[in-house]
Amino acid sequence: MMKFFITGSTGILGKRIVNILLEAGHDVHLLVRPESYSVATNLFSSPKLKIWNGDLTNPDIILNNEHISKLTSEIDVIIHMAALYDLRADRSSAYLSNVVGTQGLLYFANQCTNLKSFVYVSTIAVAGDYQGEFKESQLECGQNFENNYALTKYEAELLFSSWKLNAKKIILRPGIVIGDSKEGKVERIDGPYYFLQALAKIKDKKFLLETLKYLPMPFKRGAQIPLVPVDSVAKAIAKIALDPPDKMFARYHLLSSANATVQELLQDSFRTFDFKVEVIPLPDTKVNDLLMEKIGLPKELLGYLYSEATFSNSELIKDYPEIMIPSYYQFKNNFLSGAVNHFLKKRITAKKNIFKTDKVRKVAKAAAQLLGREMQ
Amino acid sequence: MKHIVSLSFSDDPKNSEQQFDRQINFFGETMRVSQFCTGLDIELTKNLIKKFDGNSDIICLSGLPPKVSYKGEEFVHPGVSDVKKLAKQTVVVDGQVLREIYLPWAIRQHELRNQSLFARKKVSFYSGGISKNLLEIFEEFDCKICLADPYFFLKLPFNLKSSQEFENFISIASPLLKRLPVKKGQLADFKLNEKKIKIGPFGVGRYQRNLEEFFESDIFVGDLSTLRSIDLDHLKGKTLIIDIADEQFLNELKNYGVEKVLVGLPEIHPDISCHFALLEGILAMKYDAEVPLRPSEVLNFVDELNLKPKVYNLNETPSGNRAFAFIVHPLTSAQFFRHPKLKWLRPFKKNLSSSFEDVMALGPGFYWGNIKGIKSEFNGVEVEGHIYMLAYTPKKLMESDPSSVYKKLVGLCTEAKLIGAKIVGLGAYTKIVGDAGVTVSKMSPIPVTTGNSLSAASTLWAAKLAVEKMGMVALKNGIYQGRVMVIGATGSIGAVSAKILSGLWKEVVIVAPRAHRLLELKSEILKINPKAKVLLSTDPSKYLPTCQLVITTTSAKGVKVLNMADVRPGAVICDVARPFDISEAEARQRPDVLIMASGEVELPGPTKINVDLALEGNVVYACLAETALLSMEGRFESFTLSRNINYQKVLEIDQLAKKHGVKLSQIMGHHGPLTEEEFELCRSHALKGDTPQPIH
Repeated sequence: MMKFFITGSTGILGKRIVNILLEAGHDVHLLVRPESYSVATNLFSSPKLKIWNGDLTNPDIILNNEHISKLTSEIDVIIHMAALYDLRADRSSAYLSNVVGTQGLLYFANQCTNLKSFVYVSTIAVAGDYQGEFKESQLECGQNFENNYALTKYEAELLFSSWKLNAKKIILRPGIVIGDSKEGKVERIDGPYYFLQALAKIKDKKFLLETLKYLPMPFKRGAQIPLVPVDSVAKAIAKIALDPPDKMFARYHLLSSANATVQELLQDSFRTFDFKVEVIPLPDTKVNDLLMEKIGLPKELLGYLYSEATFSNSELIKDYPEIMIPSYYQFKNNFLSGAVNHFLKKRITAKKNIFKTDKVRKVAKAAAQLLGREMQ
Repeated sequence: MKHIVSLSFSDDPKNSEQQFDRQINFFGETMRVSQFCTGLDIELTKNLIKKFDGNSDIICLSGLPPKVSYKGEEFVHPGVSDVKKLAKQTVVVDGQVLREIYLPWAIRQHELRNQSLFARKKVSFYSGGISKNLLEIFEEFDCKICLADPYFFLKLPFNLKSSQEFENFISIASPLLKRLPVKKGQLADFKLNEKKIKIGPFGVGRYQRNLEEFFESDIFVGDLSTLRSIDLDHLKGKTLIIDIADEQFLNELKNYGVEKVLVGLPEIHPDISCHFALLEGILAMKYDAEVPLRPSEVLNFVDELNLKPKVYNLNETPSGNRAFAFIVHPLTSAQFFRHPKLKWLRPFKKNLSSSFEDVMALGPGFYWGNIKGIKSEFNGVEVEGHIYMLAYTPKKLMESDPSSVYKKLVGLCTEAKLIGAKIVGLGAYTKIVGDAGVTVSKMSPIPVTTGNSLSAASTLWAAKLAVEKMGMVALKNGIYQGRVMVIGATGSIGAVSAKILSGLWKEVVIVAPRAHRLLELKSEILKINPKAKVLLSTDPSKYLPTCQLVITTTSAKGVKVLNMADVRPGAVICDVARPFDISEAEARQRPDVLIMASGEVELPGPTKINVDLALEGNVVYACLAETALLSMEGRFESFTLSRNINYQKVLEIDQLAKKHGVKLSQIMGHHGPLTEEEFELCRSHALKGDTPQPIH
């Protein structure tokens, strides 16, 4: 039985992984911030579980660290998932959580005398605005970043890669994590859910969109969006943590080889909400920032919509052929119906004035006029 | 364990080597050092200070713009003073005290040790504001200063030329500078715009005249944070002086073709690259000192840790670029007629010579010829020598006003620089005019050397060879089992000879008129060679009959230095003094004693000299060889100046000569080279053993 030390255990990925490990009978130590302590105790209950109060950004990551030397001598595997996942975060807070936090944990890992492996959960966002196929072995290729989350995750991955550690270093880069592949339940509103949420809000303003045949949207034709269901990613991370590869440094992309394009996703989303309109791409200009704001989406999403990167997962397939990450086409029905249930149910209870009808009307009208002219 | 948090403002977090968190053993104490790079983000720096305030022992801030003092006032960027005030509990240090005291000291020490490496060079400062302390030092070295502050901070197209101008500039510009935000891309990038633009009706030129002027310098002074953010193309083949540098940056500089880098702060710990703020933090922790450190404490630490700057020779100068010049003058007026273009005047030599002497002395001197094909045996570098002639005969040289001679010598140096020479050697009497090269070197655009170090070394080589040829003394374990005497030992050449010979001979007799100076010299010799046996005397006659080698260096000008009758048969007298100590009449008294004057040398490689130096074949003067050696080594510095020579320098040039293959070629007597027959004759006289009869 192995001893795990896990950060980010209260997140949607974390809680699944902790449960998988506990069910397999391993000892699990969690590092949680004092304010999340009660969340953690509610989520898990097992005699094999130990929860430590602490903060990764403090010089000593564990508070009241009297028993720390026993802990550091026992840990076999560290899984680092804690991160500030907020596309709108400012530079300082993103750096503090994602870079300082990772550095603090790396320092802690240096003290762990029996550490076998350190699994660091990164993200495919480290590809930034890279164009072409982004391989698992790649990291530094002169890319720029649209948001501080991606930038600080990139910096942290650089830090992790160059850190001297007497244990296997494994970097896992999941795609954009969405809800469960079977239940389709929405657990966290981010990425594609922002868009679905926006659609749900204008569901009953259908008449506006019915007059249009085409709708220009900010995206790039052919841009891929590697969505991955949370359950399959959790299983993959747990699998790799339990059975690390035979090399001291490994990087894997946790995503399927068949990913949706942004166009497919948008089109499918419109269909799900019974809009018959067809989406056509808008060029990548500054106007899009304004447009996103009008629609009610974070403009930091634009990076995904205009992404020119595709992601290879050949290393993962080579080393772990048994890990199955379902493709978009396998989970899209559950995913979309889950979103419909979630947002429409929520909408009934929500107040009506959330949605700024007149603004959307203006945008739609303008778009219709513009498009009408072009079509002629 | 003490915990030091270090925030590097100028490093980008993408430079992950600079971001670390380690337990490090410094001078016997283990500390934890966490360093974070904030990439010129002042907001992030502030937030990190707030984060670590109260839960670390000290916070070290590096890479922030320093405070600049001018005209009794201080300029501190308001953004910076805010940052330092943020921490309420933990002490924040920025290393400025350490930097301000250590760096000028280190550069000065380096300059003193390496005799005028920087002196009188053109030195460019990216920002006098950031390197203010060094600016003052370089002004002391008499350098031509060029400060790019107006361009650096405000992108104005002019440079400043002195610290006075700099102070005026700062006092005028400080209100404006205070409003500039501290952030990426704010400062100039020192990139030369390749595109030429039309300027009025007069033609084309580049826009950035100030940069062109700035780039002309030989030496550039800057700090790591500045240099990281600017274009480095202009540093190709130049020397850079930088406060700190890590391995990665040195590699980058190497790729840019930088010739030499002098890093102020040496490597403190193999695992991390240390900067001044971090070092101040470490010192404060280690010695529990109050911060900011006091100047006296800083000096103690510097002394205790033996800190000194480090020089990296990144790129050797390409061989084509290593030329030297050498200035000679005719030893007699007859020599004028050896110039190829004056050959036709030879038949009238006798009648013309005295008037020629006067007329030629009016001229500025001229290019005489060159030496080609000198090739180092060590690194294969080929150097070329240009020989200039100053048309003064020795008589004229001694009569003239030194300042007029200096002027002409400097003129020749300037001309030599134009055709690519990087160092000038002073030949024959030109090096004994006035203060022996010191003034000339101050005014010359390129370094100047008298070549006396190698002259001294080669004379000692020659003396050794002469002693061997005479075969009067046994050699055991590399030490001559006999006695050597140095007359005039307390003079500079005498002292150097005594020090060197003390390691080669069983006993050394040092002779000089003042006994107290002899005692001093004895203790100096014993410091170098503790096993040496040193005998003192104020009068040579006591030990003279027992010495196999006598070196005389007194230049007593007619006063009898030694009694020839006392000299041991078969001994070698090496007469280093000019004019000679041993007169011709004295020499004739003793045909069984070998009297030599100096050693001349041969340069390595298939050398070809297209002028007549009054020496045979490829033999050259030792002082010329010193100039050539310095070029082969790439050490373009004023190696030997003034009448005093230095023991260390003689040893150093001796090693360089061995390294590059400069060899002794001839033993020179009073009248040209000594032949094998002369040695044989002298030896046979000595071996006869009968009391020598003076030859009349």
